[in-house]
Amino acid sequence: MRLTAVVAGVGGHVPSTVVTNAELSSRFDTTDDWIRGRTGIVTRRRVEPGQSTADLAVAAGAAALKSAAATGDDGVDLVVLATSTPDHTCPATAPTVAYRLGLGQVPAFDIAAVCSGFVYGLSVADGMIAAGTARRVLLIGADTFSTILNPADRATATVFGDGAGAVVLRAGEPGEPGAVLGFDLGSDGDLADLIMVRSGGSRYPDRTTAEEADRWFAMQGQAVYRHAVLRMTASARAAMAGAGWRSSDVDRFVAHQANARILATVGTQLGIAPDRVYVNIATVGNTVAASIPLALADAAGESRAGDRVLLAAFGGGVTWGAAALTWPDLAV
Amino acid sequence: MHAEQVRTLLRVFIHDLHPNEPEPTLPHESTLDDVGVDSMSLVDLLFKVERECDITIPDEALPRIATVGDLVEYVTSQSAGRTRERNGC
Repeated sequence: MRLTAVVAGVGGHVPSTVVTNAELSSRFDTTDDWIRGRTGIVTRRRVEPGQSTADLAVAAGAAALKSAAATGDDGVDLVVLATSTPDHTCPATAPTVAYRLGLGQVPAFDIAAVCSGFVYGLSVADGMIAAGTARRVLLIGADTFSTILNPADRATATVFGDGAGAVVLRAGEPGEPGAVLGFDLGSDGDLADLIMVRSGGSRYPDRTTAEEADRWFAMQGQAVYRHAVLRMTASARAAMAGAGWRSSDVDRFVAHQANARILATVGTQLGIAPDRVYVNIATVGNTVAASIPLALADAAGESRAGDRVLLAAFGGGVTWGAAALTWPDLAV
Repeated sequence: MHAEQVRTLLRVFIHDLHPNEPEPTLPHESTLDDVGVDSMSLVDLLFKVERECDITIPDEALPRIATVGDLVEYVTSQSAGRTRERNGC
């Protein structure tokens, strides 16, 4: 029988500095009511100068490893970090994270798929487990978008927050609680401009001569909302079909927490009852690649082994992905 | 779909969005933002129109739909070719 990834531990971490809607209202022409109404967000977290994505990834990774150790599992032989805000353009951040976690010289690499990064990473980890390349994987989603936001852009300042979430995956069988059952992934490079930091890469290397707006993260909100709803809905439907689930079978829909309205609209399009759509965006905002694993960590206390969990994400690239899994039997 | 049916659909949508507000009058030249449909709600509205009228609205059309009149004219022109009445369209 094909080996499959089975979730063995979950953990999350957010930095301690809180950014309130009141603070944003003093910086921009906005109000707490406007932000809550449009996004569902009340607070988000931000790293302090000197803190980076690796710091958050290490903390979340340690929490997931502790969670896995509580069930008797120990050690990992691969680290995968989904992020679009690595500590440096080069090298990847995952080897530093593996080193700081004391994991030895295990293979470690980053995956860059913005908000779809965790689902993409889950499929990669599952594939490497199935191939026998890895037996236990630490998969982390971590981003510090506060470090790339345009200081003059109200829309992105209100939405994005910093954070990290992680899972430990071990080799197991499809029938076990925690088993990853299947994926649907996709991309459309024709829409690359929708979500972008234009300069600072090989296309426009000199950020000092770039237009101000091109030095920072930019997002075409209305178009992104439209495509996110379409792609997350279609992808989630495909993942459910692959797992043999109807909408009513889904116990928990954990979608990328882009904003509360996308979650509600996609849930409605899929026919999933609102009380089964997990929402934690109010306190952390859109944490990009951290969004789904942070939501999984937050949901751990109220989830039961065997619960049918559907994940869905849409992000820059553009990219999208969905996954079906069951909730593991965790000690915590 | 006839113009008045589009206006009714819009009225119901706005009421669901803002249940405590009085019913809007929807002048032809009012921007959708002015009647309570912001840019993201417009996307939700167009999903609803697509579902109920069985039409597809391409991305390029979004920037052209700014006023109540724009919405009415666009939806009536797109559904003009439909020969079958569906769900109030």
